[in-house]
Amino acid sequence: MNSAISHYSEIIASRRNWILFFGYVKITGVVIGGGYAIIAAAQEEFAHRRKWLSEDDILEMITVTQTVPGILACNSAIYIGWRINKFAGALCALFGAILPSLIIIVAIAAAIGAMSHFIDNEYVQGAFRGVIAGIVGLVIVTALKMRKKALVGAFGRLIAIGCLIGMCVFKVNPAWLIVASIALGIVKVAFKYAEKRP
Amino acid sequence: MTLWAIYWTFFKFGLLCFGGGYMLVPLLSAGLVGTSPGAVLTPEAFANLISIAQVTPGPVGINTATYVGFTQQGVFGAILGTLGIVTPALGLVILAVKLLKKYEKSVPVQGFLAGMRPASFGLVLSAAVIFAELSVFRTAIPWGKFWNILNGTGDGIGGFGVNLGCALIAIITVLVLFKTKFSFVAWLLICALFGVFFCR
Repeated sequence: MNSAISHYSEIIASRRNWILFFGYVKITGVVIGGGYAIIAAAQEEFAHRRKWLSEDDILEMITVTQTVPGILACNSAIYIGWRINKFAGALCALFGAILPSLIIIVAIAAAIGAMSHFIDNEYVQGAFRGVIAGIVGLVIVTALKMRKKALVGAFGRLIAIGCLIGMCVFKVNPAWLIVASIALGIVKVAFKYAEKRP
Repeated sequence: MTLWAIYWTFFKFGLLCFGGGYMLVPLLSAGLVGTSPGAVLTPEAFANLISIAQVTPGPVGINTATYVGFTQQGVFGAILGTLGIVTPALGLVILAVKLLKKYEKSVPVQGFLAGMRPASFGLVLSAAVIFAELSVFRTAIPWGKFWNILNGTGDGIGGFGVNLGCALIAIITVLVLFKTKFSFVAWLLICALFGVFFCR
């Protein structure tokens, strides 16, 4: 065990749950920018400041959150909560992660209903369109940053292009594209594995 | 949508949402956005939702689930949409912590990753296309009409066209965010300001 880890086991379980809950409320209530920004903040809070997690834990957390489906920030909350206090810890961290969004977005959604004439204003629509155009760029940058890990060999490129065209041009349900890609991946790896064996 | 339908819809999204919140965009746009009978959001409402989700605190996927749930069934809809999208991960993360290290090198896990990673790459890129159809392009891209033009049976491209202000923003954003460490939230607010003048 890493000696840098503080002994959170000395803190009673119910107090650990509260720390997890409020730790995540604090992070997701303030940090704008979604998944990766929230994971970085959680790493700062639970690994660097409280020293509850080692560097190895953080690496494992990143692998797990990217393998399992779901919202990245919530997956990281479930991972950290589980490490610190099993299922109760996972639940507390997860509820902490979703509570600020629930409150903030419900307030905004309720306000939008009341000010629909403001939203429909052409200047406001221009601002929204500007943000969406910025998000187009942001998503492309996100994809560029994951390309090395995602596009391994001709197989990876073929799957990626297939999913892009299937989704955009032929409007195939993305659920089927994901399931089919995973099935093809398993077949491909199984063949490679069979070839290697004499 | 009934409360149960909201929970179940977002539960399925939670099960398929590989590689983060942007994966929700193709899933939402195939399932809930549009003018077909099952759709519950107009493309315009969807665009507003994504802009808001991106510049408010909290995970973008949770913001989206909360907003869609709220528009359907008020506060309870918001709660059930959010719980639905996180339920699968609660079981799967714990399962992965227990099993992933042990079976990392096995054929099913390696094969799963070999298919899942490029698929999520392609679908994240398709999110960029979907967003472009809500900003850079004035309508959805008319693939059928393009095909007809290549065929020689074309009858024009309808109202399709490019919003130059938005196109400029998208291109500059790629350059700025890929080459510099500029905070993207601050950048999106600049985009909003630019949009007021040039994207109407």
